[in-house]
Amino acid sequence: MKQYIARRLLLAIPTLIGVSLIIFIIMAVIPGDVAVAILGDAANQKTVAELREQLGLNAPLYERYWNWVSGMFSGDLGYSVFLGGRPIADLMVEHFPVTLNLAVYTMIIAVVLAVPLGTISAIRHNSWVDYALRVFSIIGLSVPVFWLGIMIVLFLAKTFSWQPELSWVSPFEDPWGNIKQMIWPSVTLGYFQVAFIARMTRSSLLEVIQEDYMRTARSKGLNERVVTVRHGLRNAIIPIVTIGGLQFVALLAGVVVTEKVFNLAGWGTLLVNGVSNRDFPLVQTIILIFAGIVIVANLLTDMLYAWLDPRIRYQ
Amino acid sequence: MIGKLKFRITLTVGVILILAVLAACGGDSATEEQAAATEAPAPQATQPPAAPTATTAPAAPATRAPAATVPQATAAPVASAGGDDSHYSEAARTLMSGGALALAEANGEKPRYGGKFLTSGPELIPSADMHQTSFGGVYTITAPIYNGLLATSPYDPLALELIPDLATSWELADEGATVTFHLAENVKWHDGAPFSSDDVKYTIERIMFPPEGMVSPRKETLKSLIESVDTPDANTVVINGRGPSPLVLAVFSNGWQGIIPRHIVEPDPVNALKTAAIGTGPFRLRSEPTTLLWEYERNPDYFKEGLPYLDEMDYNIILDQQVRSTAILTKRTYWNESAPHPTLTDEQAQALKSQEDDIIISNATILTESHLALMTEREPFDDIRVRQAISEAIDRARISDLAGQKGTVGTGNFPLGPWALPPERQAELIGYGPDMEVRRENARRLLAEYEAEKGEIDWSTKKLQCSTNIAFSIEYCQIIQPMLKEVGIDIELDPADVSQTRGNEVSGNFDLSLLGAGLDFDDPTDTFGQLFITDGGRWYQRRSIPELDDLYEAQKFEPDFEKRRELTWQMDEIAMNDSSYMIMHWFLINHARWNFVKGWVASANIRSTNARMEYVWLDFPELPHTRP
Repeated sequence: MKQYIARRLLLAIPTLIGVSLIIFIIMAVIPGDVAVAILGDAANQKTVAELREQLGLNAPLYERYWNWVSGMFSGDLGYSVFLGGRPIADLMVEHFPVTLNLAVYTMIIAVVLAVPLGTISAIRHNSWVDYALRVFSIIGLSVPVFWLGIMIVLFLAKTFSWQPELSWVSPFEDPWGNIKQMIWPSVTLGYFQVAFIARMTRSSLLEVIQEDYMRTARSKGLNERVVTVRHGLRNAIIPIVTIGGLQFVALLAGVVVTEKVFNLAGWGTLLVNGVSNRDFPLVQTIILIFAGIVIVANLLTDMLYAWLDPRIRYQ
Repeated sequence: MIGKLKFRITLTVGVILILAVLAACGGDSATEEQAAATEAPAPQATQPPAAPTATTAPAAPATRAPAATVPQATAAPVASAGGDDSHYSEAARTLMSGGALALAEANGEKPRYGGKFLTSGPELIPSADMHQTSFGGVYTITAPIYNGLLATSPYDPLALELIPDLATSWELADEGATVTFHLAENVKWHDGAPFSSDDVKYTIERIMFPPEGMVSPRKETLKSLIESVDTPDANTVVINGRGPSPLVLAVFSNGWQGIIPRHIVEPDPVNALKTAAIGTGPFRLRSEPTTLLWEYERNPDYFKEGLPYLDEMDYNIILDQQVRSTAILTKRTYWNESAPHPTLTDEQAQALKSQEDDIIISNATILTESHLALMTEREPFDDIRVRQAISEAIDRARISDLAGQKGTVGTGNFPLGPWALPPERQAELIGYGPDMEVRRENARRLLAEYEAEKGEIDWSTKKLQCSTNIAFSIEYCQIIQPMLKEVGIDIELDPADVSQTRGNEVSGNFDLSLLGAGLDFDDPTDTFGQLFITDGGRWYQRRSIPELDDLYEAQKFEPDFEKRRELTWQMDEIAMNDSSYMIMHWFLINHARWNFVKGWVASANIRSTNARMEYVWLDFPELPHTRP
């Protein structure tokens, strides 16, 4: 197992180098100029040239790439060129709590609702309950997240003249305020996750239900709850864990539209604004960190398999 | 000596006479809600300088005296004030004699003290150093922290009435070429250090002669106007202008010229203010700003007695207009922003109004134009016939009818100010004639002439660039495209992000470009200096017209207003007929605010000092009329 982890971590190095090269090249070739973005509508040839020089944008590409990569390896995430030279590490730390908060609440909603709903749907398959839950899931998968978010905001505003706080409220300073603020974006995002994971749970459990060991368990006289949870769900859980893990990572990587609709400053907003303003050090660094998170999350998911199913052993 | 005295007397009598005429004509002003600039008729050529302001601009609140002194402050230089106060605006005189409460009272208000104001802005803040950018968001977010030498009256919709700020009084000499500012005493920076004239000199010189590595977008404007800055003592600053120009004074009422602390900036002049914000202003930061939130509190040591009225302020950066609108409806913010931008369309403004009667929608035509620039270094735009054909084909008034973002049709001079080209002269220009059929016919003829001489134009290779994240740009492009098609110009749109399209304008990498530009002053030295003269600040079209350049130099320090205006009109006619940088509109913007927000008007000048917020107050019954 240790060898497996070490091998996976070693493989991460060329992967990250590849990602860094791709994102660096993309940011270098896309049109647009951060100097223009900073200067606003008074940008002219002279001021743009001066600012480009000041920002070091006239250096050769290989030099810029090396400066960035070597900085990353030495723990220096660099500086945002658009946001007044603020350290990218500070910006990521500032925006991370919002992202984490949203991801955790969303996954709580997803797991708490999706697994039971998927299980009920599987146990009662082809009943009216199953049909109702499947319709619920399909709607969740079909409704665009941005539309749902806007509808929720408009409904709250029109009906209760209420809108969530415009700036993030820390759960440690004001837990109730935090819940009031984050519940709606979490529901917006969570509905899709619930639908997705519930369907996965249902189909996974339906496969397991047909297995011989399930029949054996019932014939032993175990009650249905124990059969379903201990024998059925435990074996059906692996694909759900995989999907859940990847969805959580996707949430960490930023949920741009929901953040925008609810004016939340998470990593998604930071990244998209970085792209709009051609803030290339910020974009490069965030994407590289996302790539690192995905690699680590995948590894953790694989390790979780082994814990959930002792038959799985990695060589 | 006697001649000078005679001149002063004549000028004073003249000012009094104009004041009297204006008071008689313009005393019955409309309310702000009725003040939509688009409803106003175009200025008359025969009117005296004051008339366009008094009769065509958005009117002031009913109780305010007409903006009679505006033209003196902005359109024509004023001679030395000597012992009198005739060079001050009505608002300035009121402030000087009775303070902020008197100014409020003169405008029918009785301010309340305290409360937290909730404001917002639509842009991320790249840097807190306003002297290194022209980003509107940077100005509005830092404005409450700083003071300038002068400010603009918070009740003047045109933001032309100058009032005291750090300078409590000022005198003009040499027909307006030299200005002596007398500074307020006992002023402190937010960190407790004393303020002095040395800070003013340092600020101005840092803008004019930026240290290596600093970008100073306004340095050319200041350098063209100012020769030197003297500080005879700690409370006096003398600006020695290069010549008599109303801008020598007006430039210091522009919100962008905030005075910065020398002791903070000098050790690291390029970077010190990028993340720090220490001023003498009415508000100071309450906490470290985040990307989307700046929190302020009242400066308890503010040098202006009784100001600001508010105790606290939160500035939320909300990038999405829909979220901003919802935030207004739910009172998460009290308005859409402190300096109007073209972000709230008519439709959105009406939607807000239809849901809440107590939301006030005000309109103003602002000093921001939309333009169609043609790259004249490329064929066929190097030929005036092609440029004029394009201009003739575009029905500017129709754009405003069809688009969500409305505008006022005008030329290179702001159409509602003292320099506006008279309508009958405007109608004679290429692209402004009243009969579209005649214009289209003319456009076809011009193109045919060109093609007969130089061969057929392959329009499929030419592109009109528009900015996908600037709503009006996309809208206007889509409206203009079929207009051009009607005369045989079948051109493709080239949509891209504004950081690319503006970059293309700057580098000259475009055929046709539709974007906008905000200006600092309604003054030809600024507008033409930015847009039309050779090597001007935003000379995207790269078309050099020596005759225009000569007129520009001739008008710059021309002390006679009538003469200067005639020179300006000639410049305007040349630029518009040349059709290399076509003005489509001057934006008519909407601003939404709750009716309990007082001490503020939507201003034509987006660089007005209204964004400083010191005169803004909240009309909540629970707030007292005296400072507790």
